[in-house]
Amino acid sequence: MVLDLDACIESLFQRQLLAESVIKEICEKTKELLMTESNVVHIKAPVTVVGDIHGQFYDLLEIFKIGGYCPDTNYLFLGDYVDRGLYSVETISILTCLKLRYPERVQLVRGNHESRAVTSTYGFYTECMKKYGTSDVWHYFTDLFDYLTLSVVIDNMIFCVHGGLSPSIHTIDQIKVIDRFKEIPHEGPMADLVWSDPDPGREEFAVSPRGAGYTFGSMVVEKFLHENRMDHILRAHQLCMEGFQVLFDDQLSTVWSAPNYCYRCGNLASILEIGVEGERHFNVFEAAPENERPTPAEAQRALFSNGVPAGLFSNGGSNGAGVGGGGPNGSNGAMTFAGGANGSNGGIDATQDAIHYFL
Amino acid sequence: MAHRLIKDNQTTGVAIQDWTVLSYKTSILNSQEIDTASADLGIPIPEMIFGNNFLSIEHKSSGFKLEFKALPALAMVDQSSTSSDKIKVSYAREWFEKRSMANHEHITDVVKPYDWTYTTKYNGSNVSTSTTNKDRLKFEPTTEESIDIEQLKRPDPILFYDENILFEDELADNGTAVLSTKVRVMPSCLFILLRFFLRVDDVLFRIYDTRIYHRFGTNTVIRECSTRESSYLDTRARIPRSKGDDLSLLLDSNWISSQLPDQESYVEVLHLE
Repeated sequence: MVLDLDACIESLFQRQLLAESVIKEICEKTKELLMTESNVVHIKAPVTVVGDIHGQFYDLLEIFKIGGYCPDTNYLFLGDYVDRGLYSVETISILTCLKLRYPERVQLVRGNHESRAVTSTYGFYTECMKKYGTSDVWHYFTDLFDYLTLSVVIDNMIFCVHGGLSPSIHTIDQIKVIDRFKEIPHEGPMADLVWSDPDPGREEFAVSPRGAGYTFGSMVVEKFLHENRMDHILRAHQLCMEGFQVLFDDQLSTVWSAPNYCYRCGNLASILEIGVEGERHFNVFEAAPENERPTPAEAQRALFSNGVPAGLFSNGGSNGAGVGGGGPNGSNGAMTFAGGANGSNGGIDATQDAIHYFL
Repeated sequence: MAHRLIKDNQTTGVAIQDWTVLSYKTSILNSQEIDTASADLGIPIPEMIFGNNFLSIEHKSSGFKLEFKALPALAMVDQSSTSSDKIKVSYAREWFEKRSMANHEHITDVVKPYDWTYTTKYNGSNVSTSTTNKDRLKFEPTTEESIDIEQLKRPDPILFYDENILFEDELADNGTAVLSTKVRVMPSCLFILLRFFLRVDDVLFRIYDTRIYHRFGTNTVIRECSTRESSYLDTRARIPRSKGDDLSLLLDSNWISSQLPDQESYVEVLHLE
């Protein structure tokens, strides 16, 4: 059977999951493609940059609606596609298909969640088990993660990475020689690129009190940009209420693309549109409207359909009130770990379940 | 028992007898609020900071009022010079060793020490305004009173139930630290659980609980506080064999709570006027 990527993309847009065998084939082909990419991929503006999505598939659909569809809009995704949200499988499936279909127009950078260790705890593994009944799909995708590039440079001016800078890296060439085809290590330049955070209160690198990881300050940013003749660092990785944050005298931007994060933070999200002259525009948006999300029953089915890769909408269209939208910190926010203590209802309207009799 | 439910945009609650229970939920703090809070507290703020949320209970005739809020809880996080040495992530040793090999020892700047697990013994903010005597309406140690667990186990109708997260941080994906409240109001009593839950992957679990109990018609409010913790490995070993490789119980704070041994607890009582 010949792989029909357009059909795959179309069915994902229709909220239908792909069959396991199709995912296997797509991941294999995408690995071959990614293998040829450098650790530093050079691209040209215009491009729209997307930060953390974390399985919030309905918000990703909103992003395409706001920012334009592929291949009309060029996209650079900065990682953290999976975990925490309810639809990591749908999210990474559609992004992988788009990358394979439009390799020059879609760039996928690796985030700290594109890792076996992190996804086994924070939701993606559990979701794969629930939606496919086996861990095979999780293996296909996490093997693919090892091939994702670490950074992108736009028009030789803007350095893009998931987390931030590393004390081991002074020049772009030092990134190019990292052996990236592996699980993200705990330590070293590859770890720093996906993990580190800026600290506007300092100048240099500092060690986190956790005993691992760095923060980097203004002088570090200044030196890196000067040494590499660039003028801006663009990264994701940190939640912010406004959906974006600009630091260090406009030398560094954080872009965050998961609105109402974890279905309860009430935060805004943004995508960053970079024009041909290098001009940057944050396009800020809210969580997708509730009527464009699955109903509670559908969300439940999506989570509990063991072994049946049925689409989210296998029983027809969506109507009525949605789940997962919810208000800020809403008690109806569906939780990442289904089957845990946090059900899909709560609040004052449903007060006779065992959960309400906590001690 | 006559009661009135309260519900507007961001507040839910119940008024019953002379009591008002309110839960307010809104979005995380914005950057400016975070900068201010961080400067005031002297520590970095947890990733998800619901700094404006609160749960409160108020007894009108006595002036008793107890609130549960994130920022006063964070003000109790240890900032002593050794505070960040007590718990390190599981791979901290490996990280430091490899770092020396990479010649980064010159980076000696460590973010000002604080307990990065956000462990807090916060047990509520007593903001009572007694009309008669300001020395009243204080919690005092007691050995005579305790929470009536048997009454709480009865399946009485629940007039109001609510959960409210005050802060949450995933410790840069090394675990989770959550401070949250739960409240339930029944015709005969009200009951609150404030829980600090900590998981540091491959290191430990920790639960600090504060329970507040008042039986309507009595003049006492009882507060029980407990601290419990256990190593990650010991806790993981308690997962039933039938679960195989499924570790999802470790994400369930209720299950963890049922497995942790008691370490330290105390009971206090407050007399309403």
